Amino acid sequence: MNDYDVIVIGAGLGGISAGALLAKQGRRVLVLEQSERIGGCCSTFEKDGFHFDVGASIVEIIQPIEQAFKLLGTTFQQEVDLISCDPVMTFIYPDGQRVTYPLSAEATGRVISEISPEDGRAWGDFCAFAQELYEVTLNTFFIEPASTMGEMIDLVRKDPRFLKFLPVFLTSYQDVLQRFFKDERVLKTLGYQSLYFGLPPALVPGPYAMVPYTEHAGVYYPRGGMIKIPEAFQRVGEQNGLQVRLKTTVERVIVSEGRVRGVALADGTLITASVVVSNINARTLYQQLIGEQYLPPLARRGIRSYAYSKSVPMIYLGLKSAPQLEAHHSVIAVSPEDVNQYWWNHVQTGRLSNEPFGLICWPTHSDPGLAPKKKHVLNLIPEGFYHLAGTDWEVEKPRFIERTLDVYSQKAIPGLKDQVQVVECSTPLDFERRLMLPEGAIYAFQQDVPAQAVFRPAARSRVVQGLYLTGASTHPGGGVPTTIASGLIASRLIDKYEQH
Amino acid sequence: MYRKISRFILVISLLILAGYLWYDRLDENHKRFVDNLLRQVPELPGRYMI
Repeated sequence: MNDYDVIVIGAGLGGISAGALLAKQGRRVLVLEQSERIGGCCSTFEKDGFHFDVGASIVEIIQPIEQAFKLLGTTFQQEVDLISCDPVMTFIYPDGQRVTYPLSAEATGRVISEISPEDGRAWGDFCAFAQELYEVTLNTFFIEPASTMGEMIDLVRKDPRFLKFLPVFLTSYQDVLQRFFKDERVLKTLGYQSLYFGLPPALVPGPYAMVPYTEHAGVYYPRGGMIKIPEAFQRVGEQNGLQVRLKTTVERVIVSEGRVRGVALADGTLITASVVVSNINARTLYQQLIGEQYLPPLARRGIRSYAYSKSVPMIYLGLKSAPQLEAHHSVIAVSPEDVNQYWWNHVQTGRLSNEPFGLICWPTHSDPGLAPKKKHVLNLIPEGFYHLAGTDWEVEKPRFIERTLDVYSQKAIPGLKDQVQVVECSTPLDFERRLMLPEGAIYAFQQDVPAQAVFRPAARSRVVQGLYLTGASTHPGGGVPTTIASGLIASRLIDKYEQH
Repeated sequence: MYRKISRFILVISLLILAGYLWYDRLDENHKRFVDNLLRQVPELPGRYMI
């Protein structure tokens, strides 16, 4: 008899959710995590009484998460205290002016109308388009496997409206937005979100342009920090016998006669199981833990061909008092074309920009308990990337922190630098080292059309039997709800194909 | 038979010419979008295998 029925490599959201769901199926499940805490990018750490989220800063599109907890016999809201974030976002223009979009899409339309009456009218049309696309993708693309042509056909059968939106996949995020909006100031509130997918607006597939709408369908923060979500999965999973081991590194997946047999740990221990779920980067999995000798030549070429998604640095600040902001999230307003130019002139050349640009997360706006009394947490996610021309992050890190604080204090948050009590930073190199993310790529591989769905590493491995993938490397891709959806998909596939 | 082959070559040539003209008229962003897709086409069979 095997030591376990299922071994899960990595306790990021995809792995821990799959583990909990498989334990609920009555399987003996062991989750192995190399770091000292679960959650991966959806985790929280503490320093001097301030609690900082490692990467993910809010949760939206919660339906897949609700589905997962329902299958576990509970509800998302019962397991995690969700705080609704309203307003959704403040945009800070270069001239210092600000505009804030409330949670209500209708109210946001009124705000946009004050900027541009024409775009205010277009906002209604955009919402109608995005709402239908959102419904279709929630019902199909998000929660169903899409690794084979047969599975893609099943998606269309499930909701034939999917066909209507197929041409949108052959347009870009920028195309979709510019179809509706003309005013530059309005476009400056819609450009940044393309970078959630690791690409500029000119390259991100058109359907992702619905994100500026989906933010109005509900944005939440878990009280106590983002780690509450993976902790909830662990807690519920452990009620069904799930086991989690931290600070345990898997060195190899044991494969024999085309099938997984278990894993070998870095300390030499062998643990046997008939099913292995990998939540780590698929290239790392196939090239290092399994070995390319088990892959057919074409598959070897396939796994080598993916481009890693863009990483970002994060600066975590403990502040003595509240920053001059209005919402949980703020963004330095940039148009789609600004982001494109940034991509071609900076990301592709490895030259960091001196202009402030990026997301600002103020979680104590929603949950004051994350900091000592009257103090605040602020996470800056300024633009940056892994490959730097002529330097590296070891050298750049202190300069980058200093420069970012200076620039943000001058151009975005007056007085910020004087309020800083605690500073920590994760560069793309830190993400690579601490979370074992190659190139710090939080979203694993780029999420353009040739790396999506059937062209993304399959949830049920095509080359090794008994091997399943979760997390950002596989369908549907990176993000909090999407990685949990991958856990749902893997657990369903295992239920279908692997006997107890 | 030679007429059929000639017609086939003519149609293919016209399609290639039309494709080139269409691509040439694209703005920079759209060219990059198309380039990004086309560059990855040879990798698709391998990605479907993994």
